[in-house]
Amino acid sequence: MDNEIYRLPRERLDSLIERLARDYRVVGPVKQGATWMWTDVRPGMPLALDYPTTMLPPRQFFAPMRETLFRYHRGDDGRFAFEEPAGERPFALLGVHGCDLTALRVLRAFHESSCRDRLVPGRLDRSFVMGLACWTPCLPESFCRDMGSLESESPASLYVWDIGGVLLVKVQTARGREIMRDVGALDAATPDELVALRKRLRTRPEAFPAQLQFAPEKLATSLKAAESDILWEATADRCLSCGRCNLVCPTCTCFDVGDQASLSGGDGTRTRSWTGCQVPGFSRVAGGHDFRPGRAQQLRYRIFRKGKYMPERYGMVGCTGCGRCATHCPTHISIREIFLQVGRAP
Amino acid sequence: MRPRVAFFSFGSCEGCQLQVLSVEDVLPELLSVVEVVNFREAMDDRGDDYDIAFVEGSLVKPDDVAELQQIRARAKILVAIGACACLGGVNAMRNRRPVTELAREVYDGRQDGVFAALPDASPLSSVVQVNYEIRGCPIDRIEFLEAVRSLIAGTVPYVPPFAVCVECTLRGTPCLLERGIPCLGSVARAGCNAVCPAYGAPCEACRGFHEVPNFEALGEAFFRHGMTRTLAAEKLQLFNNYREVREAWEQAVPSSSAT
Amino acid sequence: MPQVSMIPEACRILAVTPHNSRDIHFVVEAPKQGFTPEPGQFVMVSLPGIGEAPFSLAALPGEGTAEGTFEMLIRRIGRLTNLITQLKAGDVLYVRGPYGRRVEWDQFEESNLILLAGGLGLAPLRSFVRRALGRRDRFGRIDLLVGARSPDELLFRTDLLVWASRQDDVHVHLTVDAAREGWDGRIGVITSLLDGLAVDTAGTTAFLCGPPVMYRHCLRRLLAMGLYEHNLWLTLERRMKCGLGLCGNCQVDGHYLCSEGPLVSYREVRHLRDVV
Repeated sequence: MDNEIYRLPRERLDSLIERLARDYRVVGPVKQGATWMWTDVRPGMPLALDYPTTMLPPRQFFAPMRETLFRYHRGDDGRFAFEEPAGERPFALLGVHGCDLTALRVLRAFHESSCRDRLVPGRLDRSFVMGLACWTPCLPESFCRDMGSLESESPASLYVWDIGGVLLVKVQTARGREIMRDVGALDAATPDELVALRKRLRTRPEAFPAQLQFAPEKLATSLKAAESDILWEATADRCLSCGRCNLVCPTCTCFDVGDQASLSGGDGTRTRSWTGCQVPGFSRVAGGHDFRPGRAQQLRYRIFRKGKYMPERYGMVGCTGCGRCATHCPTHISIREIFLQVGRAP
Repeated sequence: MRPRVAFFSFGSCEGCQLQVLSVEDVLPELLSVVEVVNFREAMDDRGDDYDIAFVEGSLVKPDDVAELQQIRARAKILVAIGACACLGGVNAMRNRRPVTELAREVYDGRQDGVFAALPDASPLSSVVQVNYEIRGCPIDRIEFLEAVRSLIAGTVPYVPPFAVCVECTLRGTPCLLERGIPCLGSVARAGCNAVCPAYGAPCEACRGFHEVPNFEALGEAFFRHGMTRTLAAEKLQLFNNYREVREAWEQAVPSSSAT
Repeated sequence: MPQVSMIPEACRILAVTPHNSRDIHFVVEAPKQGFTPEPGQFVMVSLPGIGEAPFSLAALPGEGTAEGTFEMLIRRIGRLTNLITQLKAGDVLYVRGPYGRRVEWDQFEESNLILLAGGLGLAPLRSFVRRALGRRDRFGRIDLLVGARSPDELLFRTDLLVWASRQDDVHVHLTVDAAREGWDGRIGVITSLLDGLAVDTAGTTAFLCGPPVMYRHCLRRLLAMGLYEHNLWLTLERRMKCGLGLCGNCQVDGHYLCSEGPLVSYREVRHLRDVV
């Protein structure tokens, strides 16, 4: 399938959306006010293939921000009966950048390890992903090239290069080919187009200047030398414990569980919702003891989880270099700068 | 037996009572689980026999103190509702200047109809033990109902320990601070589902602060987004000016009077 | 692998015994399917509409309590436990589990056992004691060291009396932090109970459960006595929200204690941060 690169005239995107909508709930980046958000798309809507990433990552389609685990209802015998929500329509994600494709692989690696949740892997299996190549960094804080996610083209059934004018689409799965065939877009890219693509890919790294002076695989070892609280305190002094870094991260997976109920308590739901290691209360036990109470400890935990624990346990670095956490941190605590400092240390 | 509940009001706009009344869709269900014996905004009857007292408003008049103490003596559970009752709220903005001076300025020296005022407008907890707080200006109706549900079930209401930013981000609201709008969400306590930022209005921390507010960093955040640190202090005074609340932040955030 | 559900099962409370004003002992019907916990595992218990929390097992089915039942000691300490501790026999709890690592007991056979329980820590360790006493001939000397803040806060007093009367099987040592007149037992921290304990260092396994501060002192002392790191077992408390290795609230250095613990050996965790 490697060489199956087809032409998709831009105006045919609508046919693609239409075709996918038969089997999926189709979402893609759409400009809303000053930002771009993952939005349900219909034919005719302006899909922003030039979007500079979204605040909330695509993991929302595999582990929703707030998800009903089950509903409960008190029966006549006074006991509660439980009911799981019906299966939802699978998602088709259009225009996923390399960083977020990488994050989907991280999510799969995590969920297929010791963890016993099957909801997320099931959704990853059923979904349809169309990847999208980047030509410029999304954010000043992006360092995807350094983290190796700029070139990431999987998991995606289709992978798109927008070379201006026509879209070039690489078919990467049988399902992807089926969709392209249904859309009637199986015209091979012309030699000229392929030359243009190769040229752009060759010069692309120039737009992504190296930000780290070391390979991400080295992070785990470098971080090992950065255990001391003191190293983290100055940066942590700037932390508001607002939790935004966790919530916008494409590879964070932690959640909280809570109950909602009617006034009489007879009906309700148990839900899980996103939280993270920077959110107050996360590592606290009943009675109030917090096993990771300080901002410095918490900041170190987040960085260690991404740079050390995740590669050690799941075989993939937990940071894709997407730049979201630093961009959306009110005081601009930058994981890129932290990695840089840690990697620079002797 | 349904617990008897009563609503009382001190210095406030009574907007929190109106929030309670706005639960029309569940009012029948609410009345099936509690018996309301005192609710000035909604009924004429006055009962003095109650289990749970919901009290809004801050203490502003000398008479308020004894009245609140009486409520405390009668109620098994006293719940402060709203920013005024929990924090002193906007009323406490006046605490920075002598009340005589303010009276002269506002009422232009007239005495008729001007009631006696306490030197400081203060939250209920400055005078009596408050069992639980439902914060916000006004309170959130869903949070109010959740609190009622917890109390009638016999346990404590849930209070989120984290920042408004958590709820705001999960709603997908673009950050106001990032657009140079002076938002206090990063130090403010969640529970309101970040309703103000969702409509473009910055958070004013009407629910007080989350568990570990970092006020130095708030000043830094304002500065990084093109605002002054003193603006942070000015914003904080709106709802969090009562002496003991103010102590939490005033050392950390330079105010214009200090600089 | 099948989808793992977080739906609990309604389990009837069979007996309720207060140990003091805030610690309540429950005997509960066990979930019907596959409920064969090992000591150190835990259950998730909930009341729909209020919430869910992890609880250790104070007795395992058929080990000092009837088959098809288990026991818990629950302290009134928060939103959920305020309500659970008001429940009576015949009421229903919603239970799922067991969760946590299954530590094989074969490895402890022929070993001497020291069990150190501080406060509520006696609840999980009670199932350890019962496991050991149920297979008494497979273990060497057994010492149970129990610390409490005050005599009033000593838990499982009936068990302690019964065990104390079985001196050939288990040596029970008690201490309290402070006591009023009338207490003729020992006053002091739990580590003081280790004084004068004759220990075969290579052949002794210790199990610890108690408040965070207890671990550091006890570990230091046990190591100084010469016990091996791999023979020191800790049950670590964390606020598990799922039990499935997913929610992350129980993480210690990337390890998910709901699945890799809560029972861990000191050797496995001594290099980790923020363990106790």
